[in-house]
Amino acid sequence: MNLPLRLRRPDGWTVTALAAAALVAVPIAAILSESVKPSGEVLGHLASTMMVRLVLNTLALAGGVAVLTTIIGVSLAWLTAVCEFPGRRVLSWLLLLPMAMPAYVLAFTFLGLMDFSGPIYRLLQAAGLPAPADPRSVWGMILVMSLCLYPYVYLMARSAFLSMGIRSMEAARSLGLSPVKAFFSVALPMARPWIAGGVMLVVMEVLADFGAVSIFNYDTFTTAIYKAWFGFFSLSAAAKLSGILSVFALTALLTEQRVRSKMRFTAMGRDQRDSDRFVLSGAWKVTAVVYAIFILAAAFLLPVGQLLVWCVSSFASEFDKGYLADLRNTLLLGALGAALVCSAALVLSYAARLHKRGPVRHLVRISTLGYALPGTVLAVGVVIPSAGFDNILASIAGFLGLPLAPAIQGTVPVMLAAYMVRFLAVGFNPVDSAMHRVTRSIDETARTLGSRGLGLLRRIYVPLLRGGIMTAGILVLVDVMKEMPITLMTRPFGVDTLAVKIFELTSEGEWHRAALPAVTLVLTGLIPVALLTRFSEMSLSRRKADE
Amino acid sequence: MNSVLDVKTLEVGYGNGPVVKDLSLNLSRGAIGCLLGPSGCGKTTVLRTIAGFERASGGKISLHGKSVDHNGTYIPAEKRRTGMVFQDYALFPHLTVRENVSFGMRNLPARTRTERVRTLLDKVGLGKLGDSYPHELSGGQQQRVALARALAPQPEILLLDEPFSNLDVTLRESLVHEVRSIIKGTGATALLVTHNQSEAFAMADEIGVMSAGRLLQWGPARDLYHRPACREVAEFIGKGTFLECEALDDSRVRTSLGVIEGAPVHPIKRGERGMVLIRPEDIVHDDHSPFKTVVTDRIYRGPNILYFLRLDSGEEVLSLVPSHHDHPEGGKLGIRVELEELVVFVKNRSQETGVRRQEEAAKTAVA
Repeated sequence: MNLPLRLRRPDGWTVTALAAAALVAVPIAAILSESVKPSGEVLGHLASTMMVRLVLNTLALAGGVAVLTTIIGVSLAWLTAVCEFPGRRVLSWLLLLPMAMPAYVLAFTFLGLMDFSGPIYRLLQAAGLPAPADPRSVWGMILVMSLCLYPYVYLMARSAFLSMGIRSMEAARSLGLSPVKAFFSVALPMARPWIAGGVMLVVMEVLADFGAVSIFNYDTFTTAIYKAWFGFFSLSAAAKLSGILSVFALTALLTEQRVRSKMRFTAMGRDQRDSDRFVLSGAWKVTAVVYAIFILAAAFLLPVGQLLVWCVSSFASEFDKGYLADLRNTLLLGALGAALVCSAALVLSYAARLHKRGPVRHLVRISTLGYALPGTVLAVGVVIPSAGFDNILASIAGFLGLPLAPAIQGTVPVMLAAYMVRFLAVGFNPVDSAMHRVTRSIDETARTLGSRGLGLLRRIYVPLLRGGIMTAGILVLVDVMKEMPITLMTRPFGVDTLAVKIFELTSEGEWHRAALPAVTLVLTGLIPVALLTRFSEMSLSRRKADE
Repeated sequence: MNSVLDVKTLEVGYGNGPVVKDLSLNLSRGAIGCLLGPSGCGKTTVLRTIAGFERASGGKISLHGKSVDHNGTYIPAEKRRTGMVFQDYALFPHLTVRENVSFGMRNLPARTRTERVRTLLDKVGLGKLGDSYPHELSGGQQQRVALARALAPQPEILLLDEPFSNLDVTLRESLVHEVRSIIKGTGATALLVTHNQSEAFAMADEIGVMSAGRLLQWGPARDLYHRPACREVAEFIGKGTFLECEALDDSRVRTSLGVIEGAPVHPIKRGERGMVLIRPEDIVHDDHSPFKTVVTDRIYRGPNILYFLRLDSGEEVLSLVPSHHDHPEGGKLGIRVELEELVVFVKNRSQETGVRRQEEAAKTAVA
């Protein structure tokens, strides 16, 4: 085929895409080069005492959460997508609310609820029942993480069931299978790529988690990296641990991308109608409602209630200048991160549009890989090269007899670079899907009608991309605001955010005082959840309009 | 000269050989032309080259006598004043119907613009939907908005790329007719690209059949059907079969259905052997005919029945018979041939493109 004209014009997009890809590649390269250096004493010590435990702990947690989120996510998805019971409509989006909860917030609230002085303990005591087991165990950790992360599996499985659940079940039953058999032999296997995709996202989140595991004192790679660096002051040991953790994370990422390529919706006749649902009755109906409400209560209502109670009791002493300064820092970093990510996403997406083939495509792919890397790994990855840069600068300064001071390590730009690597994919996807709405024929129609250059940009691109860029900005803003490990490990001295505050307060067991910043973060976390439900409803109504 | 579009020996494509080769066509003012061919034959590339989205690697394109793509000269798409209707309509989703239609008329004064949008929307029957957004419209309505939008700036030529392929069959038939009268009503010159014969026949004044990047024949629908320039066109357009034949003189051939006489489309000489084209309607049901055939298959089509008939020679012909002549499969049917144009492709004659052969025929006729 003849290439469209603009593809043959030389441009600067390749260079920009290359710069973005380099930004992702540098931290990874730094960690890799540091990992292959001969191990120092600290790592020898770590290896002998901790390595086996770290691997086992990490695998147990990831495996346990994967199993539990699958059970919770798939069952809820099936109930809300295919069955009919009272409150289904409302519950189907309420069940997304736990997405607004950072795992570390749920973790400390859970500990607070189960404490000796907590409401559950007192309730059990009043009823004359034995005290609950120590919540600080691998089981407690699995439960907390699963309640926080099941929405990933729920969302993916639900969209699979909604698009092909009922039709495939009807086909299977017309061939003589019982409903239960049809579920296990047709609907579940069909949805497997979606479920697996959701579970892999969960596993990536578990591997990346730092806040919740450190609150539970549950040692995983992320906490070990933090301790190696801030406890033993060995950046090299931290880098080696990061190297191992990135292998785990990249394995999860590759698995996720492999299953993603298998997701193909098969149109199953006409669209699903509400009247096609299985209407649950009697005991089944009650069980479904109670089950859904129980999960919602455990993952969101109860912890939020507890947070609010704490928040009210500590509000007078906590709502002060310190809180406002933290809030301002949090918002400022979030806004800067969002602006940076959105600009980069826009440039990359346009570069990918201009270059349908060739190196730019690969560069774009590499630049969006950063979301698989845990924040602790990225923090180490950006600090190594910036420390190296500072050392070179220092030796030059020393040679010239100038005063010594680190120039870039521990500055906001380095922090923002780390955020960008971590969250570029979050911002890229909405921008890129908006870019795809400007189809080649829309572009070309505008040109036959006499529009070009800036006019074309103003009249077609800007209005069509606006929604996507806004969405990207909000998602990244909220993600940066909730971010804990990168902020904690790369922030300039004295700059605190809400997440850092929560880390410091909870490491001293001060649940009450952590409630105000936690509630603030949960509230901001509700914005992307609202966006998510609005968009899924919009796509539904648009599909109806197409009929 | 009243020529709006003039394409001369156009060649498009690089590298792996040209996608379009040696293509010439001409459209005069107010005419609707059509490029017809299977997918991948290069017809859309021709359209996109005329619009200015692809560049010609050889030949010349002129709009209103002005060369727009020839050697070094190349006028970009946005300055060619062509109106394009895409297969997916490409309506701007963020603009209302009215805003979509007025998009290309920015340089006109506001009042003229409003007036023109109103007239056009009335003309396409969407006068009441000016404030709707594209996603609120049905497929047929979207199609008409795309048409109005392309017509609004009064383009030199209207280009339509498979404009009906996204519509369902029942809607398609009525809309094809409607679109033709809208275009005719505005006096616009148009070039359409499609793979669907009935669309081409219903829309176009002149049709070009394309295959593998070449234009095989250019002419009115009747010529393509009754005077195909080559076997490819005869096979692509309409139904029909070929019978072995031997020429008796310049207007009669002997076949297994007896001697067939007609006005020769291509010159034949006594003794030449070849294949004669038999259309289903050329076969007339006749119980008294000495030629009896066996019904091997039949398709009931309401007003008529299409019979598949086997001759004694083993050859097969099709016959379109009014449906009250009901013959079962395996039954006998007497037939005779009745045709006006005699289309014979003589064996071993060079298989050049039809256009060239027509030219040759013209030369012979002059000589």
